[in-house]
Amino acid sequence: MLIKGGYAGKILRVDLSTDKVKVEDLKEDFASKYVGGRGFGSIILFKELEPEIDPLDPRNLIIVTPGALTGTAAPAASRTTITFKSPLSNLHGDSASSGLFGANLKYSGYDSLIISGKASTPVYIYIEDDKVEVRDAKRLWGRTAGDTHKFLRDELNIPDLSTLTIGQAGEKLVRYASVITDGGAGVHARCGVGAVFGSKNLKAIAARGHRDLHLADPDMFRKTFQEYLNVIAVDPYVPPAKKYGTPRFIYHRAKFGIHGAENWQFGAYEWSGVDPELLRSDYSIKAASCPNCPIMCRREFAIRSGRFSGTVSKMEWESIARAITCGVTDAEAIIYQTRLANMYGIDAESVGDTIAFAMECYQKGLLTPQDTGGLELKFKDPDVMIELTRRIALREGIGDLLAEGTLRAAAKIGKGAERFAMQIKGVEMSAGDPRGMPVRAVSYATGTRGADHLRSNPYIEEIATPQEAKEWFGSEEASDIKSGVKGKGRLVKWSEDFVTIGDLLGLCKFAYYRSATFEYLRRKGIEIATRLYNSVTGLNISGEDMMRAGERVFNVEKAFNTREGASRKDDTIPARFFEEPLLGGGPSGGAVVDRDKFQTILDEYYESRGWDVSTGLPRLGRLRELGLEEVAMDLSKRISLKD
Amino acid sequence: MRRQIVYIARVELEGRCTGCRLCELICSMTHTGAFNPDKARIRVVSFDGGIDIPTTCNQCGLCLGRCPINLIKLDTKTGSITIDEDKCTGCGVCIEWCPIGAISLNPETSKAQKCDLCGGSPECVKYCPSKVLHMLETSSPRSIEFRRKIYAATLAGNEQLLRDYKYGDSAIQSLIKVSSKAGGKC
Repeated sequence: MLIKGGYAGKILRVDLSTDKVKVEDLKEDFASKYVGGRGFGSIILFKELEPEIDPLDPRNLIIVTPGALTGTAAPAASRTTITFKSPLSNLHGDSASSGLFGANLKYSGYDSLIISGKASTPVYIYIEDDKVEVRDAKRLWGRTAGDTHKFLRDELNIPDLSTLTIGQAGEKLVRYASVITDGGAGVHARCGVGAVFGSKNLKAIAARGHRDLHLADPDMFRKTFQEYLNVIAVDPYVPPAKKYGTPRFIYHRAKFGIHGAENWQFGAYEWSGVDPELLRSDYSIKAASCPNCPIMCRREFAIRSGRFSGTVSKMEWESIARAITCGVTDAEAIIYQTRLANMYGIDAESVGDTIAFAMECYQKGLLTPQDTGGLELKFKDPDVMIELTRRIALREGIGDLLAEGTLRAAAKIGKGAERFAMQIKGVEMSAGDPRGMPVRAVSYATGTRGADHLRSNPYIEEIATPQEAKEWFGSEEASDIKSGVKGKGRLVKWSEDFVTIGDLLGLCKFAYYRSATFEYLRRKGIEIATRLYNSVTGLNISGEDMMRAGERVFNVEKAFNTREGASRKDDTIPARFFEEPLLGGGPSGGAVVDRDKFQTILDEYYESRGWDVSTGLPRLGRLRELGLEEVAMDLSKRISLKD
Repeated sequence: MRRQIVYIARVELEGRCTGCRLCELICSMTHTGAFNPDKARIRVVSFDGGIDIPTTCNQCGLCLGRCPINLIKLDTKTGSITIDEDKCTGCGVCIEWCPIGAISLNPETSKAQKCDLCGGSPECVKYCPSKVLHMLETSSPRSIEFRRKIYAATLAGNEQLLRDYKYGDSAIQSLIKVSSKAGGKC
């Protein structure tokens, strides 16, 4: 055995159609090649899922994989990825969350859980070491995600029980339903994973493990842990993260004027209602954190008085951002909305974008009070946002249409509503408006799971010096935020591989893949991350090997999407970003994404990936170079690709 | 010498246990060389609504003399009460005597395990990210003032918590629910 720790050693399969449970050995070469987390999930999905099936078909898979470092004491390493075919994009889908579920899966002895088939009635899966059972969940059906967690924990009388649960949105197959970890400690939000659970009649997975997770080299582990602490002790990125949590990103959006307010029409927007100082003084009750995290950027919020009095919820920046997309900046309404989204089990990003889409359709007369059951869908109205969230989660009235996501809803509404559907590959937009930061346009477009700010880290342009940009991305222009073109494609490629490492190891992107300088970023994200992996597993791989693993996994996902028919035409952004100048004035007022520059950066991106520039499809030779012979062989049987 | 680990919450937002449970993993790593919360001698108790309290042995000594084969001793050098784990039979008598659940059975070996202060310099205190774990010590082993101080420090932290959570309600209710259940099976 080369691998001495970090992995539990088995893969668990549960087929819900037959209730059959199967345990397989984890092969060492497989483990070191795909590392863990998103890596395992992506290759298993590619190999085992037949092409062109409906994502809500029983044949779709749910692959739950903790990161390679999840379950260890490595700082901020608790993330677990769920991989599946997305009901929003019909392409590769995955969604990660922190929490204790992944650790408990590993303490039970499993590095990955593969769920197939469909139960005939609602069930939940119970995992405690060797005991793996599919149990009846009829009495849980209809409960919220948080309530389901508490119910199972109390009924089974296991205080440390860890769960993945869906709420009503997942049961009702809302295409962007989420899966909640430990009743609200974390959210597998994106790509509609909750709907895939619902389509299988799978209400929850509960796990509690009692076994050891081994560690190869405790001394090196301690040393590297200390090194991590030394780096974050001097990184200017950390104090504001500690002080405000993620709501501080409002400062960034305001600095560049890229709020995406009122369905991505306005860049600059009045945001004093969600001022991080206000949230801190009036609503924060304590700093919370994900497992093992020294940064503690999460916050528990509580509302003391008024109509939302008594609401307690964790809340992250993207919930606030997507409320702003609906024009809502009332902190109390947003805290309540976040709690609601997490109870119903619905992605706060997609639901925000979809409500904003409906609001704009209403504004432009494409939806009328007749369609909405008399509800006036006005921007800025917190009550409409909250009521629509409820209707969507329960598929009531207009909610039934909007539960399909912006792309499908727009097709049903017709009359040019597509223009207001702010989505990429069917997945709703996230993060900041790309018109103020053009490289983001490309990074959103190339993401393998649809519109996504977590697939890459293009903000490197903000922290890299011109010299660094030249050294790493071939041109000083890569650090020029507004007008740089050269080097940007390589920057996107590099940062995609870079953040993939985090998903393989189970590391938090805030703790490892954000920093105030490019040097700290590389030290945390590559050197320290790789050393932690080596100290836990006893392997001795280099930072370059790890980057290559990141690239390999990204290529597997690209290959999956290629097999499903996606190509260069899908790697684009909503027309609004190209054609409509950003409203609201401010730092990016009037900006659009330049089509030519976008295509030039995209060309450079495909080239640096070793893919075919004209079609945007992977080349077989490149796949083989990355050790993906099987993937190349599978693809070449179905589609003609260049070598 | 008398030493013990205590949880002292501070007033500021960042001054409470966040429930990250790093202490559990560091503890099991230090004592067993592997990660396994079931083998940790410090455990975090979480209540709904976001209250997390780390709990471990306060070296009170109530278990001294309770071991039927006399394996529990006061280590005068470190100030900790230690169990000779190699010889432990796993009878569980000490676990029943401990009023705060600080002794448990190792799930693999079925031997009793408890905090030994890591030989005088506890690792969990070193690693705690929010710096709420402290080791207090006194040179007079029977100092009543010392014990009083520790008790007061813990209460002060709790009082702060309770005051802050007054408006949150759900957390405090869950505490009340737990304490009312405590007489029962909980």
